[in-house]
Amino acid sequence: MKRIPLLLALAFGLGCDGGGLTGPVGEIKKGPQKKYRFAVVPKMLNNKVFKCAKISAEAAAREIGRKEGVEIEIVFQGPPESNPARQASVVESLAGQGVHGISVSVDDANVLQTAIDAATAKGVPVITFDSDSPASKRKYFFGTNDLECGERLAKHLGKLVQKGKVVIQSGTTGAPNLQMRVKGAKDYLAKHHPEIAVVDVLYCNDDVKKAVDQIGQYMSAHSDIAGWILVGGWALFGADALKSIDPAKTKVVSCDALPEEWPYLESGKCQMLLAQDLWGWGAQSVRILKDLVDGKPVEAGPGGVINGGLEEVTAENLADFKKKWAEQFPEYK
Amino acid sequence: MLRTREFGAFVVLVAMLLLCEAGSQFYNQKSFLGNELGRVLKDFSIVAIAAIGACAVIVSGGVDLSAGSTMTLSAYAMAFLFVNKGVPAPVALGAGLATGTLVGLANGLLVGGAKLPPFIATLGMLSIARGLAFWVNDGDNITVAWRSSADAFAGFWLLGDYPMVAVLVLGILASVVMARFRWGRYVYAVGGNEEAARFAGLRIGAIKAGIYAAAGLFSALAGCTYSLKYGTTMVTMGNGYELQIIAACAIGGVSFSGGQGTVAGSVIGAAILQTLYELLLQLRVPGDRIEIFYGAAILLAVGIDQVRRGGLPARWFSRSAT
Repeated sequence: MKRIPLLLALAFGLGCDGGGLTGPVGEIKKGPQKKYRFAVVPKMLNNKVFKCAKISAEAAAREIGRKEGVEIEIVFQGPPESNPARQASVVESLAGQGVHGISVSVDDANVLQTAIDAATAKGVPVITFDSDSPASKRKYFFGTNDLECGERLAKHLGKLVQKGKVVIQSGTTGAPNLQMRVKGAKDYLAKHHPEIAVVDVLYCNDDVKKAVDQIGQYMSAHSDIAGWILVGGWALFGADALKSIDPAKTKVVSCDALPEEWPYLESGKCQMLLAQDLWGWGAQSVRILKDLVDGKPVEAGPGGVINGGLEEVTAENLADFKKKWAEQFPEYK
Repeated sequence: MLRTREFGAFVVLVAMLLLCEAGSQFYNQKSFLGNELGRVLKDFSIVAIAAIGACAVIVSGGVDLSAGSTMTLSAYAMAFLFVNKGVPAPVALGAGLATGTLVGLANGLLVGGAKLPPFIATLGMLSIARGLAFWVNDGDNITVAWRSSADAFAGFWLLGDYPMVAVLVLGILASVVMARFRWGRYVYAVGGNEEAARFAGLRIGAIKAGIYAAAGLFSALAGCTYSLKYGTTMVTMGNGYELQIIAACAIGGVSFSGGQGTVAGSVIGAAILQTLYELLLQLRVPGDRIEIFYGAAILLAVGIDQVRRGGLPARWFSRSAT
């Protein structure tokens, strides 16, 4: 028991050093305030798209703070890898700590529903970004129209591949946003390109190595594949992921357009990257949460859905996209 | 009693809860124990239930790497029958538990009968069970909306809404079996000195088959609890749980050399793992550094226990002549 005071001192030392604290926040108050503490909870920390959400949330917090003369602290907290149960614990814990609002990219809609509803019951407004939990009591969802995302990927591939076999690569089987992208791509091809057959949907469990290996192994066993639709860019985060692809025979389109993926456009191995509004994931989260706390109206579509845009990036417009990226995410490494 | 590993782990757990309370009072002016303890107890239950079974495996000198996959497959068996086939809740739950027990029994036969190393046998089963779970429903999630059905509520409420009660009841029962029943003594005998146990006439293969089957049953209980607590079943739900379950046992003082450890220690170990993560959140450790502190704090907790018991670190700092 003699060691408990030492442990207390050590633990508070860790917290104060790491947390960038500005002092107690206190009870949740409604209406405009001088100081806000918002939480951004990604599905997982080991996916670089969420790093962009962190950067944009912090930039938006600084920008709004400067313009409106308030202080906004961003808490970026989540499980290191996909773990819906742990993500639910994080949301409930943050709500218990009395943050002013939470924006969460939902790993599993059912698992997170209880946590979101519990946070809302405590008076903490919750919104979702990237991936939604529509049956929960979240106020708004900001993110990609995933059906449209799948359709746009299929539409582009359909122009490049007139007929033949196509494979879709997805992340986890249960992620509702990915399911919608797969559905959008399949339905579009079935309707507009009946001569193109989707022969397989592969799941890489959001694992970069597995995604890279899957493509290599599949091409080794099936050399007649005419196209790949990657509904997330996992494989292209790895180096040499498309070495088994002959661009003259096989075309590749992928969701997301992060710097790691650009070389595949430049080498001609990939024909199109479909960029999501990653900036909006963080920046809009902060803006919406502040408006919610301040009691201001938020413009949204049916069901509280706010669609972020999609941008097609090809070898032709990559230079312009790079320039915009450097301005938005200067801290991205 | 004060020098047992379980008591040391319990002291660490209490210290962590007090730190959570102090952190919450300092940063949020709220009582952690008053507002959040119930949730933490619920959250740690899944690992704790599986750790009860894993304790017997590790005490016997083995290891079960398939626990997470067994959780997933059992939950799928229950959810598939209940949701897709309309089977009554108690029957579906029973089928889920039977599935896990069979997976465990297969492990036990491979280890005890075919003499495969536990690491290899259960690693293979990890993959088989994961693949079977995917096959059951083509990899799609199954939503288990049991709370809206009165009949299902009667069958599922304990695991779904009060898993900590299940931990308490199962923990006490398993502790009594391990400490007071002949079977429990056999488990310690096999783990302590397998050759001596064999010469004493024990049927090692049958005992190991029983141990792994029991572990499969507890993994199944944990998987069904997850599915009912969160109302969903997904193929990735058990990923990584095997390591958490083993870590809970290790923190609770179960020896990997076999022959030592208790169910109570394993349950306390599971509580420590959950409380530790909660503590780091309360102390506002940033997300990108939390894993470092998480691992370091586990080592610290075990180290404090070693020092208190006069173990290796204490001897390092001891001035007595060697």
